[in-house]
Amino acid sequence: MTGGRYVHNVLAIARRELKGYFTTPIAYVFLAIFVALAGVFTFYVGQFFDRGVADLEPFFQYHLWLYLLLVPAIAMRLWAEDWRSGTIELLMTLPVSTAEAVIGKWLAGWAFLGLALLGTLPIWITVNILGEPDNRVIAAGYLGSFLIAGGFLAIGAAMSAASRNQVIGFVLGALVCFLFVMSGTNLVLGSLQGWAPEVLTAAVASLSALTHFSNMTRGLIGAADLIYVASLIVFWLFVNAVIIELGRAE
Amino acid sequence: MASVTQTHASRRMLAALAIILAFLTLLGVNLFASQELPLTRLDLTEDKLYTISDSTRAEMGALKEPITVRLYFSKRLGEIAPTFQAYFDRVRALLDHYARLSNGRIIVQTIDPEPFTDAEDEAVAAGLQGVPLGSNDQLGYFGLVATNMTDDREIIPFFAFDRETFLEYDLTRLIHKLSVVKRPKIGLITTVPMLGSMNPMTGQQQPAWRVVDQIKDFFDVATIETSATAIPADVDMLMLVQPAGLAPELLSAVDQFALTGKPVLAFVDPVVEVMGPTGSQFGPDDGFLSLLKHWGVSFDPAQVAGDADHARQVQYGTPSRPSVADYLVWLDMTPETFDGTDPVFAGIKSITFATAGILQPEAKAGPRAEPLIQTSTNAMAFPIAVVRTPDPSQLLRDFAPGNLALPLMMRVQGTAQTAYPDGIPKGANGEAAEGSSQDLSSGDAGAAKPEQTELKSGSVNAIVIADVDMLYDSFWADVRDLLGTQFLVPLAGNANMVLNALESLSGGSALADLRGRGVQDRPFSLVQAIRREAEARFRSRAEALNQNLQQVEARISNLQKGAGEGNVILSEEDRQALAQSRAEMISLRQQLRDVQRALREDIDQLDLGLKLLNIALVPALIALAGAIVYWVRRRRRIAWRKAASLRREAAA
Repeated sequence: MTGGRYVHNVLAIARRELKGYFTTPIAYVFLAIFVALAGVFTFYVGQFFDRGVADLEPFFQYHLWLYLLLVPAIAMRLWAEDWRSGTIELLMTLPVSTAEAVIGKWLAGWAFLGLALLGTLPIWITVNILGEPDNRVIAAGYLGSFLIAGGFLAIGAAMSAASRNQVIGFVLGALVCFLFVMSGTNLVLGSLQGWAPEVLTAAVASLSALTHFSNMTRGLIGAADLIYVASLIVFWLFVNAVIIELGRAE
Repeated sequence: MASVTQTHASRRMLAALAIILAFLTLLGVNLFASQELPLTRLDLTEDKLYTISDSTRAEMGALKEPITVRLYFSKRLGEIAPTFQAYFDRVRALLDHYARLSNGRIIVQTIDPEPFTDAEDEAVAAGLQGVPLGSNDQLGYFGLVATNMTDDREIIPFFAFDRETFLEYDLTRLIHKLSVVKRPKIGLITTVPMLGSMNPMTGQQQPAWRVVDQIKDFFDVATIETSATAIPADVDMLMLVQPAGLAPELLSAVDQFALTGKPVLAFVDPVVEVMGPTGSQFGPDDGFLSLLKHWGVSFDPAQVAGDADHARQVQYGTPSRPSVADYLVWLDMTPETFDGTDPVFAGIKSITFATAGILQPEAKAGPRAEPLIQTSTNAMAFPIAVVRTPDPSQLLRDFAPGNLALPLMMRVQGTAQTAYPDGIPKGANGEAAEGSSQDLSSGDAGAAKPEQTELKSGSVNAIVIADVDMLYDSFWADVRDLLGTQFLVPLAGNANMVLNALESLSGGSALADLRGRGVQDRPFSLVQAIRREAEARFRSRAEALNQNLQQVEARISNLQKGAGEGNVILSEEDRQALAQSRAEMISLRQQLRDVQRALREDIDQLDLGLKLLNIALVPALIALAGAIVYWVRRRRRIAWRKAASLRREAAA
């Protein structure tokens, strides 16, 4: 198959999926909740206004935790719904490969999350009205946030594929995302101490979304951070595809 | 059937195996990236906070002798607090980079000082600071010891997060200190106890001002007593901080030193505030001011500079009734007030002054005196009396901007005449001798007399700053404490600017582009402007109300006093007057409270507006869009059903 045809198929599926999001009111509810919660965390928990510093640290600080809820909620219907309603049979009769379907669906979800992030742009305008922030650092923060959202979405999509029930897909997705957030922290590393070889501890620590995200919100886009996000997405999309293939065969 | 199940089982096995292998790859790739590529990154920050500077490259490239850097890091610390692990990775990667830049002259060793080992003893002996690891008594270390060939040693006791943005500066400065063989020597003449002193009240030793420590990182500092009669021959440059009561011979020696073109950095101040009530004893000295005049700079000790555009906000008043206002004589100067082309401002974002004086170029021909920092034109010269009893609101009332920028710092270059054309003053004659006659006996003894080679004129190379308080710790830095180790977090560029000035005068510029990096305040300027504007708007009203209130209170107390002096019973008239006054007082207080509330009103409104914009507006728009889409779809569906039923009818 040619590359052009591949891209065409992926985009066709992504377009169809993305359109699907907006046929139900749930998409709008999610978008509204995400934007409102981001604002609430920034102003009330992060004390953005009283802090008086022209940067968006109090805004980005809570993104990962918001994604823990929002992203699995977006991802849960990616596959679980298809299993339940049997539309997966229909999808697989189309002349598209599993990989194309997996990537297409994931791209649609990612674009949707991008829209959610776009909804928070007033905060960027706000901080520029109030003072003179380092806008390049803010741009890096947005990029980092979008990338991590893509990584979490890939996790959520795989979990959705692994379960035929949306609620279970959501819970599993949130749980695995939580592990990836926490993997750099005491909680996870502490459990490895004593028995796991050092190299494993270091490897698990390198999987922490928290560390990579905080680098990016400081204005540093590192090769290690980009590799992290890319490998996270590729791995979970691979898991997703393997599960779908298995399901089809059975 | 059995074979189908078997196929399923083997497929599942295969799938599980593939996923496990993929996961191991994920782990491996990320492990590799985090270990090997920690410095391959795009630095998007405006200041390039995380990019190796040219100073560091030059410094490392110029290393002649090897320097050994022993980096101590307890692995256990990294396990307990992964943020430290990430910070350690960064430090180690940076040092490895230094080693490459220095062509291997920097040798980096990483040591894990495990509890109760020789490595831990070494770390402790070198002065590293341990932090407790969890509940047991063990300590974790994250510091550095660097030594050169001659066994000079420099350490970083602990890598504190608060100094993370200054990491490169700290490391490069440390290497710089170990690599320089002979450092320029500064002769320091000061009447201010910046080198540490004994507090006469408590008998406690006061530490030296932090700026002195910073200077000592790059220069040797030798103090010259005000009673001395000569400047030691090995002094390369002079730093004068509020020089007063100098022996006439010393003043003349300073004059001669300056005329030879050797660098001079001078600080004069109408009032050294940090000396507290004794500040008046630290006034500038006529003898030195006359020297300044000959260098082309005049300074009026009776004036301080006030600037409404750069005033710092202060809290004052009583604890029960605190007020906030701009204190017009405490200034936060920002780059637009700097002569941006001068190297002393490399990387400097702000410099704070406290009751600074005003410098003016002398009209008559002489050296060229160019302002390096000037106030805005929304400024005026206040008489010194106003700062003796600081009252921000009084200053604001008296403020009448002169539409003229006032220079606070000047660079002097060019040919100057000696202040002593008739030779060295002999104590009793000459304005400089005041108060120093008792020093003469010691002055006559020793020290080579420069009379024979006296210069009548020469080229002066000096920088003059009209404030001494700007050197004091609390005006530019925050001293923080981490488990007993104090470290400094600069809030303004004062010390960096002084170092730049010393270096630029002495013809060097080591680390100039690294200094000042990371010291940046990004305030909500809009909120500050609104506050300023509201205060200006309500000030006169608040003051009028306060005055009325005082009058009414006085009236009430008079009436009550009248009642106390034998008139046991108040007359009906007085009673009415008293009741009326009380009512008036209550109303006035209410009005005052209203004014105070109104002061914050605009800011509160802004806060509320921004919250609404960010929390409610976009979600509301999204909901609206959703509703519209839903409505359009519903109409379409109805239309479609109608058409379908019409078609059915037609078919029937």
